[in-house]
Amino acid sequence: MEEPRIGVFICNCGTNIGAVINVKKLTEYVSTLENVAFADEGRFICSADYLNKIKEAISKNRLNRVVVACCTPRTHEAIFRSALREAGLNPYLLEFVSIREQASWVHKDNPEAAFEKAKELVRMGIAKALLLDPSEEVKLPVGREALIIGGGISGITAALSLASLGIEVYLVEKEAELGGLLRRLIRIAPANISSDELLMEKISQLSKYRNIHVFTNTEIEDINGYIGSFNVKIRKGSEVRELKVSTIIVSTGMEERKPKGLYGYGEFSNVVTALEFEEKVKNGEISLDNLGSVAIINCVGSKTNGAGCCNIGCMVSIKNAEYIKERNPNIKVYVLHQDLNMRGVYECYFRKVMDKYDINLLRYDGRLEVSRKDNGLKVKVYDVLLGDYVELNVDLIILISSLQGSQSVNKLKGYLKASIDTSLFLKEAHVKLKPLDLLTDGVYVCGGARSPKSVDEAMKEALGAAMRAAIPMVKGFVISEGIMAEIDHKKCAKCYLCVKTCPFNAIEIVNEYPVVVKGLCKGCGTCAAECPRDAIDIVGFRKEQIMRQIEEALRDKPEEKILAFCCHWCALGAVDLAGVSRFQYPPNIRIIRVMCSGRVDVDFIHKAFELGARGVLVAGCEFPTCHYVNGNYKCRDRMEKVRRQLISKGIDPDRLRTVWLSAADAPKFVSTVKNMVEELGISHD
Amino acid sequence: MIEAIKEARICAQCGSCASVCPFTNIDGFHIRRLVRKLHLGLIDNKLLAIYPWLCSQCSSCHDFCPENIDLPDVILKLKGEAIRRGLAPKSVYSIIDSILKHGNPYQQPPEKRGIWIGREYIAREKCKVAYWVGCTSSLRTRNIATSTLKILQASNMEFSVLDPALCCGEPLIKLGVINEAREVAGKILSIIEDRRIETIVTSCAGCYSTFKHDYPNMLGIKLPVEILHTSQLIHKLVSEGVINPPETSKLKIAYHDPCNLKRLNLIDEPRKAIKTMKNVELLEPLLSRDKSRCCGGGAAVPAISYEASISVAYKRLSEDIIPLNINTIATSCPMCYIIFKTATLRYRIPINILDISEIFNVQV
Repeated sequence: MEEPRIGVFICNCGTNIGAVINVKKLTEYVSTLENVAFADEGRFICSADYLNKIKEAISKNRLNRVVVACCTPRTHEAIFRSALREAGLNPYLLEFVSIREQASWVHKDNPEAAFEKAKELVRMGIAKALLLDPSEEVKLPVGREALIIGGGISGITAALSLASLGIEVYLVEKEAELGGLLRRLIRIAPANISSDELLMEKISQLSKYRNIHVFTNTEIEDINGYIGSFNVKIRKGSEVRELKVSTIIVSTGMEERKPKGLYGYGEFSNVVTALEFEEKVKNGEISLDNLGSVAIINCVGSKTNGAGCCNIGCMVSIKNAEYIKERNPNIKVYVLHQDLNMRGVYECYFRKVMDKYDINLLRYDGRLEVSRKDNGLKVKVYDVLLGDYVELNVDLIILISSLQGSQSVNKLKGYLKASIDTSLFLKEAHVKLKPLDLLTDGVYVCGGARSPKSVDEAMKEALGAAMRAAIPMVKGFVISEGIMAEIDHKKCAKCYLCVKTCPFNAIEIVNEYPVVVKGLCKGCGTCAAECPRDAIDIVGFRKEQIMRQIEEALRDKPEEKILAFCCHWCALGAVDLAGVSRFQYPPNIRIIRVMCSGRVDVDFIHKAFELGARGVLVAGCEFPTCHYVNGNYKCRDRMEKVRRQLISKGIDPDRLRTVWLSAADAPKFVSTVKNMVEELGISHD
Repeated sequence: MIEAIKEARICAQCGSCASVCPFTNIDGFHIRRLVRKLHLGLIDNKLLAIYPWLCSQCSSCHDFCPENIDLPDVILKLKGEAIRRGLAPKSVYSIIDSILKHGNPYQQPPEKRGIWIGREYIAREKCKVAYWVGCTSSLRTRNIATSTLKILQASNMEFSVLDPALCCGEPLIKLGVINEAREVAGKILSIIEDRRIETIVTSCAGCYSTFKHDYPNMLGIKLPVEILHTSQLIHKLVSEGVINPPETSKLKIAYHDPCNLKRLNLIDEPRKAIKTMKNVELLEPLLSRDKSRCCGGGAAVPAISYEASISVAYKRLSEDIIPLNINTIATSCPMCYIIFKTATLRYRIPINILDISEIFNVQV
C-alpha cells in the first residue's frame, strides 16, 4: 500500500467555530502530526472557492486521503465527496470530523476544553482515514416494466398512472373480472356514486393503453430477483408465463372477516355482513319491500383480539341506513354503534342523513344477544344512554364486520419477503419515512392490502405507490452507497445468522455461502456485529478503523472520558440539534459515528473499557423506528449481553449506558451526557 | 305505542334536562331516559301508567335544553294519551271528575266556597275589577283569600269578588286533558262577558298563568280582560301611595318564585313590593329568579304521590333556602304555600311561610 499522505482542512465556519476554537493554532498543531502531508484552514471550506482550493491542494500535494474538520456529515458529506471525485480521488477516502456541533457550539464557555476536544476529534479522524479504502457506489439498472398484483380499484389506479408514463404494466388479477370489492358494492358514500359506473369508467380507461396487459383468472406462481430484475411466473389455469419486471406493486386488497358464531351469523339466514347485504340487494336475494325493521350492528369482531378499528365501518353503517330508508321509508332502522366515527366530510353527510330520515342510533357497549323470535329476530342490547337493556324485534340484521388483508398474502409474502401483521395487512418499510414501500427494494404496497380504507383513500395511495415505483424506473437506475458489507468466506461458519438478521434480504445463499447482494445492502453493519466469527466487515466502517478511533479517543486521560457510539440518523441528529440549539454540556464525551447502532460490536465496548474509558454510551434510534428496521433492537439485546460480560470481568455494568432517541430529542441526549458525567463521578470544568 | 313525538326527535341525550329536573330519580322518574324510550318506541301501556305522572310541569327542563325541546309539552301529550287509555293513576281521574262535577279539584261541594269570606263583606256584582279567588284559596288556604281581600278593601278600589263554582282549569291543562279544559274556560268567559269585567286580580299564580298564557296559547280562548297577580297590584298600590307598606319587627325574608310566575317573567314586582318595607331584609334563595326550583306541588303531583312532592319541597328548602338563615319564606302561590308549610311542619324547620298578601297584612 502506498504511503498515506493526508490532507486536513479545518473550517472557521465564519465565527461559528472560529469564535471558540483558535483554528490557526489548531491547524498548526495538526500539520505537525504524523502522516499529515498538508493542513490548512478556511473561512467556509464548503464554499465554491475553497472547494477549488481543496482540489488544487490534493493534486499539488499528492494527497491520497482527506480529513475535513467542520460541521456535520449529515449536511455536507456529499459536497466534499464530489470534490474528491473531481480531483481524481476516490470519494470514499474522505473522513468527516465534526468540531462545530460537537465542540465549538456546545462548549462555548470552555474554549480550552473545546480546543482539546477538537484536537482529539481530528486525531480520531486521521486515525480512521489512514485505514480507509476506496469504494464505489453500486448502480443497479432499472427498466420500465412493472407488475401490479391485484386488479381492484387500487391496482387499476396504479396501472393507469404508470401507463401514462409509458411504463409496461402487467396487471394480474386472480378473479375472473377486474374490480375487487367494487363489484360487490352498490354505491360509495358520501356522494353515493354508483360503484358499477366507477368501475366501468376505470376499465374503459384501462383499455385505452396499449402498454397495460391485463391477466384475469391468473395467480402468482413465483417471484425472485431484485429491483430492476424481478423474474415472475404467473399461472392461468394450466398455462404458465414468465415476466421480467423492474418493480412490483402489491394491491391485493382487503376482505371481511366472517363473524362466525357472532350475533347469529351462520345460524340465522337473515343475519348478513355489510358486503353480503349490498351484494344480495344487488342480485335480488334480499328484497327491501317487505322488511319491517332492520338492525345494523357496528364493530363486529373489531377492536378486539388483535383486530383494530376497521376505519370505515361507521360510514358504511350510515350509508346502508340511508340506502334502506331511501328505498323504503317505512322500514324502521336501528344502528347499534360503539363510536360513530364520521371523519372529515362524512360528518356533514351524517347530519344530512339524520335530518332527512328517522334512523335510530343506539350506543351499545358489547352486551348484545341475538335470538329467534317468531319469523324474525330479537336483539337484546344494553342501551348505554338508557342504562338498561332494550329488546328490538327486527327482520334483518346487518353486521359491520372487521376487515383483514387478502388471504393471498400468505403465499405472496414468501415470494416478496414481506411481513404481515395479525390481520394479514402488509407492513410497510417505515411508517413515516416510507409508508408505501415494502422492505424489499422495488416492491410497493397500496390500498386495502396495507390497511382498511375507503375507495377514495385507496385511489390516493395507489397514485402514491405508482409514483414510488416510477421514480427508479424513470431514472433508469438505483444507487447504493459505497458503504456495504463484505463477507470473508474463509472465516464464515455458514451459520446464516447474517441472512436471518438482514432486514433488507440483501444476503443470499450461493453455493452454501452467504453472499452480499451489493445493490440491496444498505451498509447498516448489523450483520457484521452479529457474526460470531467476525467474518463480516463494513467498507467505510471497518472494525479496525473503529478500533483505531477508540484508541485515539482514549489516548489521554481516559478516566475522564465517555466514549459514545452514535448512529448517523437519530442519535447524530439529536447531537447536531443540540449543537444548533447551543445546548451546553460537559466536554468529556468523544463521539464515534456509525451508520446504525446495530454496528456496535461487543469488542468495541470491551476495548473501550480496557483502555480505561470511564463510561461508554451507545446511542441509537428510538423504538420502533430504526432507520434500518431492526438494528437498534439487535444492539439493545447485544448490550445486555455485554453488561453480563462486564460483570464477570469485574467492571460495573452501569458504566455502559444506552439511549434511544429521535433526531429531535436533543434535550434527551444532553441530559444523558450530564447524568453520566454526574453519576459516574467524572470531573469536569 | 306512541308514535315518535316529532319534537323530541332532535334530542341528543345530553342530560341537561335531568340535571335540573326536581324529580330526577324520585320513584324512577328520569326525563332524559323517558325521551330515550320515546326515541326507541318503547312507551307502552305499562310505561304510560307509571311515567310521566311525577312531572310537575315546572319547565326547568325546557329552559335548559340546548335544543329548546318543549319537554313539558311532550309530557303533556303522554299524560293526555294515558288518561284517554284509562291508564292514569286513580287520583288523576278523581281530580278531573271533581273539577267537572263540583267545579274544584278537591272534591268539595260547591257550597263550601264563600265560607272564607264571612258575613261582614258586602258583595258587589257589576264592577270593573274582580278578585278571582281560585279553588285552592277558597277551599284550602283561606288565609290567603282573607288577606288579599283586606288589601283590596284598604285600596278603596271598587271591586267584586269572583268565586264561582268553577275551576280555572289549570289541573286539567297540566294533566293534558285539553278539551275538558276548553269547556270550563268557555264557561268562565261567559261570566266575564256577562259581568262586563275589565280587570281580574288573582292571588293564585296558577290561575294567573292559566288565564294569561294557557287560555290563549293552548285553548285558543282570549279573555277580554287585563289580568293581574296580587303581587303586581300590591306593587302598584304601594308605589302610588294608595297603601302604605306595613311596619314590622325585623324580618329576614327569602322570596321563592313559583314556576307559574317565573315562566311568565313576573319576577321583579313581588321583590320591589317587599323591598318597600322597612326593617325587612330580602335575601335570594341560592337558585332564584329564572333559575328558581320547583316546590314539587304542581300538576297534581301531591295527589298522585305525596311523598315525592314533599321530598322535592324539602330539597328546595334544605339546599336553597335554609342555608340563608332566614325566618320567613314569602310565596305568591297557594300550592307553594301548602307544600312548604307541610314540609316545614313535618321536618320541624323553624321558618314561617307567608303569602305575599299576608306579608302586607302583617300590621292591618
